[in-house]
Amino acid sequence: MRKRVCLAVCLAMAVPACAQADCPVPEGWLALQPVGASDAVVAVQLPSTPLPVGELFDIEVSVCDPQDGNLPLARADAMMPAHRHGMNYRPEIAGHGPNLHTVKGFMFHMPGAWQISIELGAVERQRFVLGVTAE
Amino acid sequence: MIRFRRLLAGLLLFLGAGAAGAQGVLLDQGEIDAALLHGPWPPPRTGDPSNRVSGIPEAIELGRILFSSPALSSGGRLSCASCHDPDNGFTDGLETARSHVGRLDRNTQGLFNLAGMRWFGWDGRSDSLWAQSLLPIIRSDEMALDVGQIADALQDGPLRERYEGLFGPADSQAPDRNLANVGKALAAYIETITTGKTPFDRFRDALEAGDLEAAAAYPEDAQRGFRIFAGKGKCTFCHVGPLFSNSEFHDAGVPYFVEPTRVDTGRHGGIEALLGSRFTLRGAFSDDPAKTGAWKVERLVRSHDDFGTFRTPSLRELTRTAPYMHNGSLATLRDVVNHYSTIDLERMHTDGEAILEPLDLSERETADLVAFLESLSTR
Repeated sequence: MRKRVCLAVCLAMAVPACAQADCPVPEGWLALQPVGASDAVVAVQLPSTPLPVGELFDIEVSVCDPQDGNLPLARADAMMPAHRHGMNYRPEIAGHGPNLHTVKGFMFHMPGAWQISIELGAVERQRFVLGVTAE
Repeated sequence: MIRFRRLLAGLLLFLGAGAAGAQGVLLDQGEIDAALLHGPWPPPRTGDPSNRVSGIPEAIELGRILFSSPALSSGGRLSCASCHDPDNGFTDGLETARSHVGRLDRNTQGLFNLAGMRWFGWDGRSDSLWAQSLLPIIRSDEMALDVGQIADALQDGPLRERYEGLFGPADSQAPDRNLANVGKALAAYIETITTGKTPFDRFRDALEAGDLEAAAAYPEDAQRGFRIFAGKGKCTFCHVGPLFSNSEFHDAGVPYFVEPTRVDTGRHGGIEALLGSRFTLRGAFSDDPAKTGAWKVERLVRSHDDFGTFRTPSLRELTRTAPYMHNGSLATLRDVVNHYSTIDLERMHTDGEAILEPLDLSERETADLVAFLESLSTR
């Protein structure tokens, strides 16, 4: 019950960093917004802000789910919502550690607003997004 | 470091003039920041790790000779320079190239500043300059050399000794190895076809240094043109960085029908060719043991909207490489600007670049944008 109240407050406040008490977001990391209901907290550490254009970069992904400690990172991607297209290269999920992953090979080929997308789950997918800027 | 330079440039301009509008610099701080992203020029030179003769003077010289040698074409009819004329911006000035089979489908691209690009050709069918350089030699509609004859061709005059000095005896190597080596020598030469600072580069450098007096020498119409380029024109989404190209593939609203019943498939066909090629950065002919660039092929995302898209060309030396677009259908820079000013959205992919829309430029805006584009050339 306490978790649900906390989650409701967090969602109502729409503050990404307002993670559940069981899943604090590491300092300097950015929490992603869940698309739909989820108890999990997904956060990323970016190599720079803004992100580079035309250069490969890696991101660190932290996954914390109080309900399921082994929720797998199924997919990592990014798109430009205003342009209605994604990246031209598929990033690679590496280092499947417990709840900590490195996703290698993001490349934004245009400057502007991008949305990083992380999907969790082996069967039913939970999706999380974060708006970022490339320059 | 770039961010620090931009902050410094902004501070110097603020201290020097109080406002960027003074002394003939029309750009505001955001526009200055955008201009700084297109430099510095030239970029630092780095060799190509997939080409072991990249940067070697003897290879550059062999490549220079091969570039103009008809020995590499069937019947000795053509050389690289037949279409990529060094006296004509390394292009032919024609809408589309001509060969022994007649008119080809695409415009001959200039060869300036190609070192280090991600993809080559209008459709990106090559992931290295050496792989792209060997293609016209064996394509049946271009130089049409039978690859089995290449060792014989390399016995010709000054080629033999120079080739052997770099790669060993041609006739002791497999034809594909001969071909890859020829591509690498050509690439070593083409890497040296670079251009210097343009009026825009001097403007940009002056802005970075906070030298308003020097920056003010850049014509005001070109400055207004840059405003459109980086502003409502949205040109900088694709024409990014010092090269003014993101080296990726887009639908710019240019028809891809070659004939009423035949289309140029653009990037779609380029990917097909790339994935079927034995001359890629992940293949055996790359000299890079780390296979540094192999990710491009290995992680490529294929999409139905690759169809009819073409690689964003660099805008440097534009005034020397007319006509424009993949099919050479636009004769002048004014025609190109008018194309984007009145772009036909009905012709675009339904899921293409959703940001493109007619710019509806006035006559003065058109002239300003042309003035800016012309300032990206050294002459």
